[in-house]
Amino acid sequence: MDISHMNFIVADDDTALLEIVTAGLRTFGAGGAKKCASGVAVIEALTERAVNYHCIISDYSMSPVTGLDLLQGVRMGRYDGVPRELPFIMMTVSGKEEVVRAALALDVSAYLMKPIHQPALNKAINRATGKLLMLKDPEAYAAIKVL
Amino acid sequence: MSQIETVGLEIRAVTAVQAKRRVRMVLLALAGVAAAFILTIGGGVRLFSTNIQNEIALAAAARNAIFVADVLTRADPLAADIDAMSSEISGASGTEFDARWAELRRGVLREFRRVDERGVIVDSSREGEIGARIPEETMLELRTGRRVDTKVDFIRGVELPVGMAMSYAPLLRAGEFTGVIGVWADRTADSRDALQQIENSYLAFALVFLLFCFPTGALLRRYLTQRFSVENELVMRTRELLLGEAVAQFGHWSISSRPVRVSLSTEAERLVGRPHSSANISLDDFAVLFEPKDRSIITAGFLDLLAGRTPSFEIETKAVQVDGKAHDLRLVARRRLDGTEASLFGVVMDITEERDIRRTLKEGEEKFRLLTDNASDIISFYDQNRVLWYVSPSVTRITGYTPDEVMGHDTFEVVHPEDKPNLMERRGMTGQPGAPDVSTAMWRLLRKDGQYIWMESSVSAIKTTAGERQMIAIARDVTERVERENALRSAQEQLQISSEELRVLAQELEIQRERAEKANHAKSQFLAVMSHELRTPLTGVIGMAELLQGSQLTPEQSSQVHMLTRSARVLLDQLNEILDLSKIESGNLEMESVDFRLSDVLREVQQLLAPVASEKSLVLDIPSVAGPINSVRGDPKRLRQALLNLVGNAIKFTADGLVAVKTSQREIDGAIEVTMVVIDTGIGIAADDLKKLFKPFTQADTSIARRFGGTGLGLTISKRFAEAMGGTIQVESEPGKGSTFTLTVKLTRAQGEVAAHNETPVELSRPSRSLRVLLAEDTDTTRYLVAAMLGRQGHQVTAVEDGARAIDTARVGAFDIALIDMHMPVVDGVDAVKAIRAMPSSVAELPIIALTADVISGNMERYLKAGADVVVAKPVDWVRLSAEMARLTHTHTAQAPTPPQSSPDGAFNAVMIDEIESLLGKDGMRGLLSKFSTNIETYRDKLLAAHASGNAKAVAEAAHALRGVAAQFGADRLSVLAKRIEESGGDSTQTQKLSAELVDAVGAARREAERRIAA
Repeated sequence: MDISHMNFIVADDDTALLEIVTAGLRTFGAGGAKKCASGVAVIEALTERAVNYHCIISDYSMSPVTGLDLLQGVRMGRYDGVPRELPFIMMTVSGKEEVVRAALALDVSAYLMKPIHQPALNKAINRATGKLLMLKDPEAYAAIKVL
Repeated sequence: MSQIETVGLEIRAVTAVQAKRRVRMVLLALAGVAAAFILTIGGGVRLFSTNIQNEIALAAAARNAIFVADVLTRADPLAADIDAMSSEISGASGTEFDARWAELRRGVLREFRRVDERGVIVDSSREGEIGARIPEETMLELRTGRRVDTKVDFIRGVELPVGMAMSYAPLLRAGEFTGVIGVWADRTADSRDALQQIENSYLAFALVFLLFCFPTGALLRRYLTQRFSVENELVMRTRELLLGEAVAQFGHWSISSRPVRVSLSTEAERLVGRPHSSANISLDDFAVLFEPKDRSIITAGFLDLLAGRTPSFEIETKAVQVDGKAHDLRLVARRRLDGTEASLFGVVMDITEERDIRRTLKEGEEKFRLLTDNASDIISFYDQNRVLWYVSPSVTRITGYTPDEVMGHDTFEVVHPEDKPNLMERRGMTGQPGAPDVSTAMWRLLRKDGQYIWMESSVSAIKTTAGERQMIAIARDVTERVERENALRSAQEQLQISSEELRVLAQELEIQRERAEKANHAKSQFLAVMSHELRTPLTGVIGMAELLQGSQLTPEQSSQVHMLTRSARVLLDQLNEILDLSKIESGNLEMESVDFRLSDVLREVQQLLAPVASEKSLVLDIPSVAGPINSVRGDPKRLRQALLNLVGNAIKFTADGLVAVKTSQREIDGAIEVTMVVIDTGIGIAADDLKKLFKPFTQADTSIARRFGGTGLGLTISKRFAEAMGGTIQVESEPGKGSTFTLTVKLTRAQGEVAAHNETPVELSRPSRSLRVLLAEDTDTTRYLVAAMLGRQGHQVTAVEDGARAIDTARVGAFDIALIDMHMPVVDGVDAVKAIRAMPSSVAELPIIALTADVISGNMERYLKAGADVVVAKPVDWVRLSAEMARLTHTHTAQAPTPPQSSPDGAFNAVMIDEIESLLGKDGMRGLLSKFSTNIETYRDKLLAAHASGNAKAVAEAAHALRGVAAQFGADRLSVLAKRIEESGGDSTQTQKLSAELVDAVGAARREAERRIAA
């Protein structure tokens, strides 16, 4: 799959991991990758919109803005010019059932388990960008309780 | 009647004009008789001694008799007295009653009787009467509340003397009959006084009369004498009549025509409710005594009769009597002529009882008619000759004959010939001594239309008053019932036949079942053998494919080999499942009982399936421990297989989201019940499909089998395993939401703490040491395969093809470990192991791994007993083999050369580092490693600080972050520790203990990172 035209946002509050995922993206042939060390940084990037982003790969456990908060914001259309159906890949080292169910309800595009291996990363991107999403109303997304 | 006629005749002699006189005459005559009586009884015979005396006596007696007759016939004062008394006594209560009575008998009464309610005399003025009885008919009268006036002494059975009368009155207390009082009035003394007076006054008159008109006197005397004898008789008869009337409650009356007056006899007066009235009343006064509707009829009737327009008159009417009740009366009148004078003579009688009886009879008969005429059953009466004299109309509906058609006929005319003897016997018996009163029979009746119907009849015999035997029969049509019963009987017979057939079938089935069971057993055996036979070559295929993968291949070839390997592995899995099931079905399932750690089972499942989950971008969350007790005893392989199956299925059927395992445990009676709940967010299972889920060879949906593959045996096998471990598998699911499989097993505590295996996964590509390996295997493929794999891992392999050579080689060569197949020609594995163990100690202590495709537990025991240290099943699980080899050689370190370890702390999983290096290059990796070592120290500090301040949430967060990065860099020990801290859920002691280890692991990881950076 050619992803050379795609711009990614990668978010993880662990800088080492951030580097690895970004490197992985490069390996897979991504057009660009914006590194965000926190959820707040993602919101800034989305608001700023220096480029059009095609996919977000975000860790779940960040503070204070979690990956789930970001996903909900995107799906609710909180960020101007950012399409609500933007592919969103959630990274996690463990999956609490409630968190995963909330993410599913928010139409997460793919999950990526840590440790991240290149093939899994590639697959997740393929899944996320190749998925046709049936968007629900913003209110429906707003009603979902995020943890 | 004859008496009445006679009286009528006598009375005819008296003219109607002289009605008044006649009455007086009657009374005079009566008085005469009475006087004669009195004189006779009173000893007044002297009055008859002379003619004059006779005359005088007669005159006196005549006068006196008026009084006496009055007393006799009317007893007015007596009746009034007795009425007053009875009401007075009746009104008195309790003790007052007796007091009143005592007072009365002391002061007022001279002659009395008191009678109880049964008619027994309880008190009397005369001696010897107590206990005697009053006649029942009198009592009956009294019980109805009527008073009885009488001239008869019931006790002595004689008439009372002239001048005496007796009245009995009922004592009614609150309307209830409590007894009778009787009072006598003896007026004979009064009569005598009166007689004396009259005698004296008439004496003077008689003297004058005798002096002056003697002849006339003689004439008069003769006349009087004649007349006396006539009238004497008349009076006698009249008296008898009146007594008769009183007894019979039968009164007479007469009506004169000019003027029309009615005169009533005493009893007649009583009956019409006008007792003691003056003798003559008008016809109107008479008529009003009766019911209003009858009054004009009576008046007109009498007048018609008087005028001779009708020969007789008779009416039944009602009159209110002194007791306040309306009585039914019958009035009968006849006309008679006295010369030209017409008069009526009639009788009145009380027919209340007769009417009541008639009414009751009529009602009874009407009811009976109503009953029989409307009965659906046939009710019939017939005599001893079976001739019907009554049959209810229902006979027509049932038989078609009208009652008239059958009446007078023999009942047997319509009975089926076959039923006659039985019926005759029964009927003949009925009502006879010793036989039942009622007999019931079933018989067939010939309907008018020629059809037979079944009847059930019940016959009772009755004896008429005339002594004849009559039969009452009730019969009903039971054809339907009989038919039903017949149907039922035949159904029952059919059922019996069927059940017999069924029994035979069941027997056959049993035979078939046994056969099938044998066949099934044979099938299982066959499957076991077949799968075993198939496994061996398959192992070769897989091994070869894996070997190929390690060689230089074009990307296309590599992909083809990968596919080959995968297909072969799937085939192997399925073969294993079939083998397992056949073992279960043939009853060969034997569970192991060894000590193991639950955490190892969880880790193995995690490690095996994490890549699969990862490939599907699924979150796989399996905890590292399954509760406080980790070391347990049981069958770890089967437990792992069951859990593996459940988690594998969950991954298979989940497209997005997660598969998580949640564990819990509790102790029950020394056993440890471990529950592992596998949750997924997959497609779920419909309720209908849930039921078939655990049946072999069924998947919820055949399309599922096409989509996801698999034999569908996994769940069946897993469940059997769980059951063999004293547990089960349960499932809950909601289509679209996901499923929850709950695996429960019962285990026991391990003998002690089971030592930890190296928690880091075995690295196949880089063995920790190079070993000298003796391999004995007869199958060429396998021998080549194992040798090649071990060789690739850096071991030195000496391979032989039979047991004998294995023994020889072991004796001469210096080996770290021996891998010996158990099935070999010449000398088999078991003997080879025994032989080696029998050698001098340096050789005998050689660690031996038994290789076998035969995984039946019994055999495994045998191999271990022979001296093998461990049994590894074929096809060889390389991970397992490597692990066992490492473990066994580690225990024998004394004789094993120890090469330097690449990762002394086991801190890093080289695969991850290699991957990072391949991503970022050596420099990039170095840079990241330094970042890593800084970061992990930061997290460690955060964790310790949070723990110190008791902030469990912050501890978990720091551990979580540490875990993520440690996993990414392959710092597995650190990652596992971090995970356990995260899972400890704020358990301070646990955290404390793990934190110490964590600090150590962080240090090790850091040192390793620095070493690698430096390298």
